[in-house]
Parts: sequence; structure tokens; C-alpha cells
Amino acid sequence: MANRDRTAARADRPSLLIGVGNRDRGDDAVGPIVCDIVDGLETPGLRTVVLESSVVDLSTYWEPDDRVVVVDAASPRGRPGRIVEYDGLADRFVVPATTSTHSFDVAGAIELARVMDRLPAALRIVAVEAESFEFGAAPTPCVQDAIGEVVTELSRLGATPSAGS
Amino acid sequence: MTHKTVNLHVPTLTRVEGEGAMHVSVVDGRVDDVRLEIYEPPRFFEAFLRGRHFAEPVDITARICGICPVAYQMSACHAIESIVDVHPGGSIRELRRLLYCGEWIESHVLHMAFLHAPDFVGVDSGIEIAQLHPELMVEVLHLKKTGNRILEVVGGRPIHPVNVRLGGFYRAPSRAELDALLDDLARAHEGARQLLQWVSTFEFPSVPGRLASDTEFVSLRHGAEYPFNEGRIVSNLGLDVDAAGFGSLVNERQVSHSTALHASLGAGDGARRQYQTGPLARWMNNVDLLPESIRSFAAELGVGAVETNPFRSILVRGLETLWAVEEAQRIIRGYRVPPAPFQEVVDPVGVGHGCTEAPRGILYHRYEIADDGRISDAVIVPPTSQNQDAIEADLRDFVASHLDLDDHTLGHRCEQVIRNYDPCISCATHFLRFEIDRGES
Repeated sequence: MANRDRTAARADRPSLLIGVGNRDRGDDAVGPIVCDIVDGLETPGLRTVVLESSVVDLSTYWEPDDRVVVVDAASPRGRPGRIVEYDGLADRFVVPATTSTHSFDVAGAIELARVMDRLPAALRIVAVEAESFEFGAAPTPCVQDAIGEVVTELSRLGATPSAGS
Repeated sequence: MTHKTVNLHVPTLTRVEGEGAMHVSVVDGRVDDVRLEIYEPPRFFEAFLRGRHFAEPVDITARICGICPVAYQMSACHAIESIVDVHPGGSIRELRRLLYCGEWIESHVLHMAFLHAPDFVGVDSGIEIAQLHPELMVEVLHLKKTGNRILEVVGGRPIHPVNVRLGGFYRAPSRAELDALLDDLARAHEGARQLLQWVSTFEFPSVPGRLASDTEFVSLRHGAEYPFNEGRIVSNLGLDVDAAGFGSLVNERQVSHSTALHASLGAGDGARRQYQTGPLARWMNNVDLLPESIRSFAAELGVGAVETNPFRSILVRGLETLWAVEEAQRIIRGYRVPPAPFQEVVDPVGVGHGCTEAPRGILYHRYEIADDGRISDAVIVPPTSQNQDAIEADLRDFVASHLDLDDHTLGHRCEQVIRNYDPCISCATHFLRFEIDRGES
């Protein structure tokens, strides 16, 4: 895929999809929208959760044997719609030591889960680079394309038997 | 005797909600200047409420804060409903209290575990606490999630609820929807107790001379209930007025170093009496209204009926969290779906006042509504704004009594003094001095 960076992405069939973001803030809605679409596909064995509030308690939404995909918008870096994937188990994230809860993000929530030994069996982070977080706006065209791409990939994985199943 | 000269400047306060700074200067061993500098830009909510329809503040003001939106919604509802003497009772009133329970739980727990506790443990973040106490933090996260779940079920969303309207709710939850929260609440109850037991082991610094004579502790008090939504504005020094009296009671003023208005008591009489609002005030003025289960647990933890040390506010937040869990259980067990989810609020014209207890203290709203149903004036006074004088007084007292500390430690402790109030700076930012010279005579 042309506009996609991968770092050790896992190909397991996911059991839980978590969409993070605010539906009212332009491209920030990417996570919830992906969840909405995947929900409509009724993929067997795949649960969805939309997190529109603080992600501090992200780890309370999964069980130890879940294979989790988290979809979230990433800050603009000049390539809107770019999809970057991380392996939440293998990759470590840098979290500022002192922060307000306003800036506690998915990376912080994963590191919090790691120190509590509350990571799931598989954890894949799909970050879609945003262009705009405009109030009340629809996602920008580049991000809408990326949403389609993420959904296609999740559908493909959903139809794939997971390792060990 | 010390002749120390110190200049402490913390350009960005950490582990507070929003953006602010702190400046303290000591000259020849005497505290010369203390400033809690709130530089976050003003947000003009009062200005852009003008001209809006009277039904809109409930949703607009909820956007002031992602942590305490219910407080804004409830103060707005009460203010506007008071104009036409609408006072929803029964299940609607209980649902409003339940919604408030959710907010207190999620807000208090977030502050206690992630912002305040690190000060006492000597670490920089909640993640480090989780490293030290992983099992406790799992329960803390569940507790917070339970608060957000209540907001979601009653308010329609876990943040910025959309189900609240004047007179009640757009839709009342079913009995089954609320019953589904009970298992989580049972676990949350145990989690709140564990959190409190842990917090009670902290060592609490003292502020000698603190509040001996000149700070008034102001909160609501209502009937036989620990206050959320209703009540008269009272203090430990005998103050007792209704919400409509707030404006003549409290004097707001601009200071050059803060985009939030400072507040003091005694408007009109020339005197400026310092006060504070929040958990310590609520506790002091209402502890007799709490159920025996909370009071006995407080006694077990060594929490007295009167607590004035701001560092111990974390204990009171914990006890209020436990109470909010118990109150939520009580409300759900007795819940009956109301015949209608709201009471009509028809043509409110005039001036209305509302005051409710946000997690950080009393939150006052005043609306003036014109004949055409549009808002002609709005006043919002959030608790953090009201607490700025008390915070600065604490900083002054604390520095004066801890000059033996090195600058780094003293600066760090001063940040703790500010965090004692769980300030929500984003809520408090309020004004912008605006001058324009058009070159006209």
C-alpha cells in the first residue's frame, strides 16, 4: 500500500477493535467511523468499542487473550491520510513524565497497561495521520480514503483464521 | 533568622488541568510576591451565550470542560428553570444526582491517582504509581470507568453528555440499563475503599498558620443530603444565602497576571474576605449529612469533621468518591422510570441563578433572558477561579514556613500546594483586557 508504514504489524484475526477519537472534530473521528463501518459488516468474533472520552482506562476494555486493534488519528506531519502501524507489544512509546490528563494519549495508556501487566495477547495500533481537527467538519478526503483502506485491511484480517485457531 | 532571597518561577505547571505558571519571590526572608499565573487564553463563553436561545446553555456550557460538563449542565438547568419556578422532583431529580455521581467519581479519581498522589509518593506520574501498585491501579481505572459508564448510560455519552435538557432528560434510562451498572458499582465500592486506605498512609505536609482566622469555607448545603445539585450557599463562618444572593456576595476582579477573574466575599462593603470552595468546604459544612458508613470509615482513616490542611483534600476527595458510589447504588436500587423524562420549561423571561457543586467546588450561573427567549446576559463563575486567592495565600504561607528547603524542593512543593485544589485552569479562564484605540477624538 502506497501510503502506509508498517512496523512489525501483526496479522492475527482481531477479536476487539477500539476506535479512539471525537466524532465532532474532523479527522479525529477516524477511529469511531472505522468502528461504525466494521460494526455494520458484522464480522463474527469481532467486538467494537468507541472511546470518545479519556483513554486513561483503555486497558480495562480488553481481556488478556484479546487480539486488539486500536485505530486513532495522529497529529499532522505533512502526509495526511498516511497510515502508520505499531505493534503495541513490541514497540515502546515515549510518554512525558509529567502531564495533565488532557494530554494523556493512547501511547500513555499502553505504557500504563504495560507496567500493570495488563497488555492483551496482541495489540496493533493503527494511526491515521490527520489533516484537520476542525469542529463539526467531516474527515478530509485523504483521511476518508485511509478509512476505506483500514476497513478493507480489517475485513481481510477478520476473514483470516488467527494463529492457533 | 534567615535572610534568604529566592525567585521561584515555574513556567508551566504540571499535573493540573490546563495551562498556568507560578511565580514566588522572597526578599530577605520575607515573601514579597506570589502569583498563580493563568495564561491560557480566555474562551468568551459568556459573550457568545448572549443572543442564544434559552434552551442552548445546557449544551453550550457543557463544552467548557471535559471533566466536569455535568456541573455546567446542572447549574445552567437550575438557573433557567428557576425563572419559571420549575423544580423537577422524583426520578428526574434522582437521575440528575446519579449523573453527578458519575462525574464526581471520574473526576476525583483521575485527580487523586494521576495528578495528586504522585506528589506524596515522590514520583512524577500515574504510570510510575502503576509500576509500584499495579493491582491498585487496575481498580482505580475500573473505578474511573464506572464513573464514565454512569455518564454514558444517563447522559448519553461518557463525556459532554447530550441527553440533558431543561426540565430533565431527552430520554430516561430503563430500569435494566441502570441495573446493569450495579455489578460495576459493587467492584467500584471496594476499589474506592482500597484507594482511600492507600491514600491515608501518605505523609501530609502542613501549612503552619494556615487559615487560622481569615479564610471562609464556602459550599452548598441542602436539606438532609450531601450537596450536588441544590442548596443554599453556606460557610463555616455563618454565611447562608440562596443562589440568587451569590452576585451580591461575591466580588470578582481582574488581576494582571491571570486570565481568570479572582473572587472574594464582601462585595459592596469595601472589605475583601478570602474564601475557598471545594471538597474541604463541602466536608466541613455537610459532614453530618453523610451516611454512617462514610463517617465511620473517615474516622477509621483519621479524617476529622473539620479538615483545613489543603494537602489532606485528597482524603476528602476519596471519601466523596466512596459516597458517590454508595449514592449511585442507592439511586439505582430505588429507581422508577419517570412518567415523562422532563418537565416543560415554558417561556422563561427574567433573571435566573443556579449554583451546584462541581468536583472542585461551587459553580455559579446567572442568565438574563429577554422577552424573545434570547439570552441578554450570562455570568459563569467556576470554582477554580474562586479558589485563586486561597491558592496564592497557601503559597505565601507555605513558602514563609519552608524557607529552609532548597529552591528545587521548594518549587516542587509549591506546585503541590496548587495541585491541592485540583485546579481546572481551562474552566477558569475568563476575561481578556481589551482596549482599542481607533484614533478617534
